[in-house]
Parts: sequence; C-alpha cells; structure tokens
Amino acid sequence: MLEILEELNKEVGVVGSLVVTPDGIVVASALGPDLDSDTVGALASNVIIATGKAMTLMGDDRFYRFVLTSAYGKMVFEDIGIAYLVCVTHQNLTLDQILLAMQSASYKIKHRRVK
Amino acid sequence: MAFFANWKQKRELKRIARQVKRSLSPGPASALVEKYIDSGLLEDAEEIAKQGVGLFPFSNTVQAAQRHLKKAKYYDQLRRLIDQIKEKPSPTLYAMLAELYNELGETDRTLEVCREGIKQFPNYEGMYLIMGKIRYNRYLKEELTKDGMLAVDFFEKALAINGRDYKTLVRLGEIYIELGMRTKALEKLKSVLYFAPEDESARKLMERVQTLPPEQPLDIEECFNQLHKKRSQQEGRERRSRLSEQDIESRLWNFAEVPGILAIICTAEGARKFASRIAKEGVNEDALCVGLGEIYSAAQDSSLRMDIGSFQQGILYGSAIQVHIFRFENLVFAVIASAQAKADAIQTAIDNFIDNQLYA
Repeated sequence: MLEILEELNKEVGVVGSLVVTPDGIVVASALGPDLDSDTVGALASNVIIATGKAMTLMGDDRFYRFVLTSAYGKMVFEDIGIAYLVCVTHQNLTLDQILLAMQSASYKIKHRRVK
Repeated sequence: MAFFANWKQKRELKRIARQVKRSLSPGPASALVEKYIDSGLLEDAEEIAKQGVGLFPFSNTVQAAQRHLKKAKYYDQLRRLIDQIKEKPSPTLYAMLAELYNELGETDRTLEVCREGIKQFPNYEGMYLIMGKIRYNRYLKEELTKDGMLAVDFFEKALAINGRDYKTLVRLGEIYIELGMRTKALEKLKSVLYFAPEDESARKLMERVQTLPPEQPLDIEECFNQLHKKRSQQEGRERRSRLSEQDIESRLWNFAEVPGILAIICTAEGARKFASRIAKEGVNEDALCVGLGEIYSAAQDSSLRMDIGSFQQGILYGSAIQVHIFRFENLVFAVIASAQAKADAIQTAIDNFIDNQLYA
C-alpha cells in the first residue's frame, strides 16, 4: 500500500498522503518530513467523525469525498470502503488532476493483492 | 486590418477601464485584468489586480485573475532561474527563485526552495529571511502563535549568520516591543544604534521600549498568546461582519436559482445561525446549522494544526446531498444541494453571489 501512496505523492503539488480509518488508526502513510503520521491521522479522523456526524444531521448517511481548502494548502478525503485516503496538497493545485490520481490510487488500494 | 483590430481592442479596453475605475467591483475588475493580460499590458493588469485583491479578499474570481497575471508575468523568469540553478547553483539564485515563488503565492514551493538553499549554502542568511518574512506575513494575517514564533526563530537564525542586518534587527526590535519583551527589544535596538547611532526610527523604537511595563517572566509562546488575547479583546466588536442579519437574509434570495439547491444557511463563525433560505420544504434548518458548526470547527482545527492556515472553503459529497461551504469575513455559508446537482454550476453561483451580492 505504501508504494501506491508514494506513487500518488509523485503528482505535482502533493505533499503527502495516508490511509486512515475513521477511528484514527493509520493503516499506511507516506508523509513529508514536516508531517507526523500520528498527528495527521488524529486530525483526519477528527474531520471524518465530525463530518460523518454532520452529514447524518443533514439527512445523509455517509460522505465519499471532502475537499477542504485552507489559506495555504488543501486536504482531500476520499472514502475507500473501510478507511479514507487522505491527501495533503499545495494551495494552488488544480483539483481535477489530484482527484483523478486519488481515484486511481483508491482503486489500486481496494483491488490490491497482498503478496 | 491588424491596425484596425488593434485600435478596436484598445478602445474596448479603455471603455472597460473607465467603467471599472468609476466603481471597482470584483467581476469587472477581474475582466479588466484578463483583458490587460491578453493585450500584454501587464503593469496595468497588476495595478488593477492589486486593488481588487485588497478590496475583495474573499472573491474567487479576483484571486484567479491575479494568479493568472502572476503566471503570465513570471513564467519565463521562473524557467530561467530553475535552469540557472541546475547549471551553476548559487545562494542568490536560490533566494531569487524563492522570492519569485513567494510572489506567485506558492508558499509551499517557496519553503521547499529555501530548505534546499539552506542545505546547499548553510551560511547564507537570505533563506532564513525569506522564511521569516513568510511566517511573519502569515502571522500578521492570521495571528497564529506558531507563525509568530517561527518568524522570530528564522529572523534570529538570519542574525546569527549576519548580526549587522539592519532591517532584521529593527523588525525583531519591533516584534519584541509588541510582545512586551523589553530585554530582547533593547538588545536588538542597541545593536542597530551601535552600527547607526543617528538612526531616527531606532531611536523612536528605543523611546517606546522605555515606556514598556516591567517584563513578565514568560516565554515567547506565552507572550504571543497573551498578545493575541489582548488583540482579540480589543477587536472583539470590530470582527463582526459589516453586513447585518437582515442584509444577508435579503441577499440570500438573490442567490442564483441552480437546480437541486435545497437550502442556503449562513452562520457566524460556523456556530450561531445568522440567516437562511430554505428552498425545499421539510429541510431541518436547525440540524443544518448544527451540522455546519461541526464541520467548520473540525475543518478549522485541522487546518490550523496541520499548518495550512485557516479554513477557506470546502466541498462535501454525500450519497444524497452535496454541501459547499465558504467563508466571507467572519461568516460561514453552506449551500446544501442534492447529490445530482451540478457542482460546477453551484460553484459559479457562489462566486457570483460573493462578487455581486456580498460585495455589492
């Protein structure tokens, strides 16, 4: 799984990526030297739980993607079944490009064969 | 033929420029920037873009026009610098490249170049100064303690390499005065006056140091926190939006009719309900407000702790609904639409709403 994340990180503007379960367990992570996987995992889990709860309040049962844009970067959450693929990127990145790469990574993670 | 086309284009440009200068608003300002870029009048474009961003910081169209302008203006220079660094790296080239990325608003790339520059040329203070400047500007904009602390740290590192840097000494002196750190401020200003005893601004700062109350035994983090608290208390009332609840309520009705929109809600900093427009019966407004509050607070907390600045906007895709969240001043808006609605159309409606209603 790490190879898939490292491949995703080769996309222009991607700072790091990880796979995290909603309860904060980091399944795999490929983050840059400035990002700590446990911290990012905990923060990502916080967003996933709060957003899931909010979606229920709003009348939906789940969310499959959340694109969060901040002043100096973006975080993209993609539902891959039992976990979420989370990608941290630069601020001025074209989203279409990264979404395509994330979908491809999600597919590979979901259909990977354990050697 | 070409002469006639040119003349026509210039006349059209002058007409739009007159219109924009009469009353600057986001849409026409962005259009004018784009026209100037097409005509190669990059300095004129820059002037309008600068005014636009200053007046309408929450307008996506203005920001996009400015990004386009910067790319047009700096692309060749950027390529040249990258090639020169590959061929014969030097600390000045790294600093120039970092400054250029910073000018383009590419903060992450600026920092990457600085880190690389420091690795290659550890005894050059320029990279620390750029990193310090970035953090300091971020601190001024968002007032986050972490940014302030890192700014001071980078400036101090630059001074450790070149202790005679006038600008950095004065800047640090000012920061320490703001923080109430009398001893540190004195140390920096004494250094300035040692090199430039007649310097008027250093003398004035020195006078300010004399008026500071006795220093408290706090570390720099506590000083930044205390300063932030003091400023928040002072600005508490001013931070309110210039738009009232009634203003927002009436303007929400001018939000473009995009098929599939179920509701639009506006809250103050994602908590208290400010205004709403429910387009479909049966939508639970209170639940939407609570939900928006939950998302906003988690997103804001993560953004700040991940060091990517404050939350600006978000798009959430669910199996039944999609939620577009955006900030304007201290207000947080959410457009709730059915999952089948066209996200692009909603985004365009949001951009128009910000430009033509909220900035009206």
